[in-house]
Amino acid sequence: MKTKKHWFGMTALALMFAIGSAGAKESQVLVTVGNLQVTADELKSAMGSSPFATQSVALGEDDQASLRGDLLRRLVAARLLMLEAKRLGLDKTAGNVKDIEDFRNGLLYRFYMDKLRERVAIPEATLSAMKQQFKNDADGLAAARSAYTTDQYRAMRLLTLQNLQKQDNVRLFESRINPAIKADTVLMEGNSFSIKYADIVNSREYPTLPNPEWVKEQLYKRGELLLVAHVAEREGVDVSAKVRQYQSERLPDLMMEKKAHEWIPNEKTLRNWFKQHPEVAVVTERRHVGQLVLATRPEAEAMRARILKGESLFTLAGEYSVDAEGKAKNGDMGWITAGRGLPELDKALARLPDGQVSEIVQTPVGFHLLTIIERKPGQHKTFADVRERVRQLIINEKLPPYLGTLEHRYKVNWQVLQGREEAKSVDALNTAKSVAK
Amino acid sequence: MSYCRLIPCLFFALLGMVQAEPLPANAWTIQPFSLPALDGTRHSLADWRGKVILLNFWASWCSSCQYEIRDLVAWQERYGDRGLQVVGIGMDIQQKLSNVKRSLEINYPVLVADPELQRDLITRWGNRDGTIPYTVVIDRNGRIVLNHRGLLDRDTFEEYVMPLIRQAANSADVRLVCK
Repeated sequence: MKTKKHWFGMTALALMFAIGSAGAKESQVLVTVGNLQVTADELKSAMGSSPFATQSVALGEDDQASLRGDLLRRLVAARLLMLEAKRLGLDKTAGNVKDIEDFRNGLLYRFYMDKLRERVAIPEATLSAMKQQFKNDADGLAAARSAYTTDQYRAMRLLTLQNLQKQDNVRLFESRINPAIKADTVLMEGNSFSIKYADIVNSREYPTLPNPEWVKEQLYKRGELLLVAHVAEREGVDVSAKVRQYQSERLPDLMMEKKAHEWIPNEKTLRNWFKQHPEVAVVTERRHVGQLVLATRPEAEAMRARILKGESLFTLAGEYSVDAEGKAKNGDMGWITAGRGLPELDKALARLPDGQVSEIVQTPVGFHLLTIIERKPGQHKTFADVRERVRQLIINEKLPPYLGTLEHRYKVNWQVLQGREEAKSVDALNTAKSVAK
Repeated sequence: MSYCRLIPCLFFALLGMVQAEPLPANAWTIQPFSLPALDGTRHSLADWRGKVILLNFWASWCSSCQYEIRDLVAWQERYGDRGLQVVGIGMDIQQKLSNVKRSLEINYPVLVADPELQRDLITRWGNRDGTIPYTVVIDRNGRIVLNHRGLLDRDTFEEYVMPLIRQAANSADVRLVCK
């Protein structure tokens, strides 16, 4: 059975060959999952919108390929979850249908209003005056243009809404907003839509009538949204592609919510897991370490004497350290977690007071002189402190085997790996493993 | 006097009127620099004298810079043969700058500013606080038309840079007609 690292490495290596130059074949299908596809275009878009988008551009080719492999794996997982969500009918629940409808109306409304704003033109004379006033001040000119456009748009929007209300024969029944109101009480009605009390006020959240002014505000907002969305749709605005995209992102989330609820049905599950994994609450001490490494003990003794007389360990490390990385960083080794690194050094650091230079420590690398600049002591956190982390760790533990069962149910075809003899050779596999590390 | 001779005279007279207005500074009066480019060559700004120059200060960790670079690449591609020259000044580690150049397919020279001298360099070019992205727009005669902090968006390019490109192109057209 392939290991996770092996698997990522294969993907990363193949991606380096397949779309290393920012996706030469933009619409190339990388993976099929059941009847769904993941394309190079989509992967590129995912790279661009990921939290690593800025850093990824500055990475080397190998690291970029590794990151692409990881993201591709995530996209495949999302497809699997989407297919499973559909199989279980999560796309047809009342909550999801309403969610999608709200999203669709929001898109139609925004599209219509954006078009309205685009129609605002600044008269030539006004624009010239602005340019004169903000000569050599691009930000000032942009702000003046924006302020003018916003004012004009506001007036145009008001006028448009009034016209649309007349055209759709919109009637408002504000007097019905009283303590006797019922879920199906109609509060606004036009030829193309109607709004009931239940559409704007959640009875579970508000069992009795909340502030009537707030209800009116919700009513006006909803009315404007539905009216404009209806007109946009009538005028042929098509937002179906964006709605499908939203649905494809929403369904994996819904599936994960469902599974998380199954895996963690209550607080007791979290607490039991925490009891079985007490190490989660332990935060190990971290030390900001300075280091000077010499080739021989006499050299180290001489350097230690110089430091004790007042010379800087860091200045000397920048000049004499035989550790290339340490020398380049003037001896600043950054934050090191207790228990990691060479055991001899860890042992010496454990008993070294802050700000002092250590005795000479011998390791296979050489003869070390150490100092601790700053220390973040270890601590033992409470369950409340790590509750969310415990929840995430349980999900991390349960998710891979669950995805494995889904991969079994829906055929996953890694087209990006097919026909690549180089990826199949032992040498290439070894390279791939190192890439994935 | 033929119309053919009159047109360039009028053109340069008008240009002179524009130039007669108070100028923020002239690029050729600023202390010159000589910096290594990512391709190993060495350049000073004078190498692009006579072009419309966008001197763009950026770094690999700056997401706004990366966003802006995509536009700069497109403009260089589109207007390079009409006299536009984008020149990047990288305020960062050379390897990271090279990675960004490769990833974003930067098609204009990127010069690497010495870390010790970066602050001094950007200050000399009119940006005391050192924020990036920062772009200086220089016309064909070296006149600094705009010192722009933040993203150089398309509207600003259209407003401040396109007239300079058209001016250069028009001027070239007039000379061609008068041959």
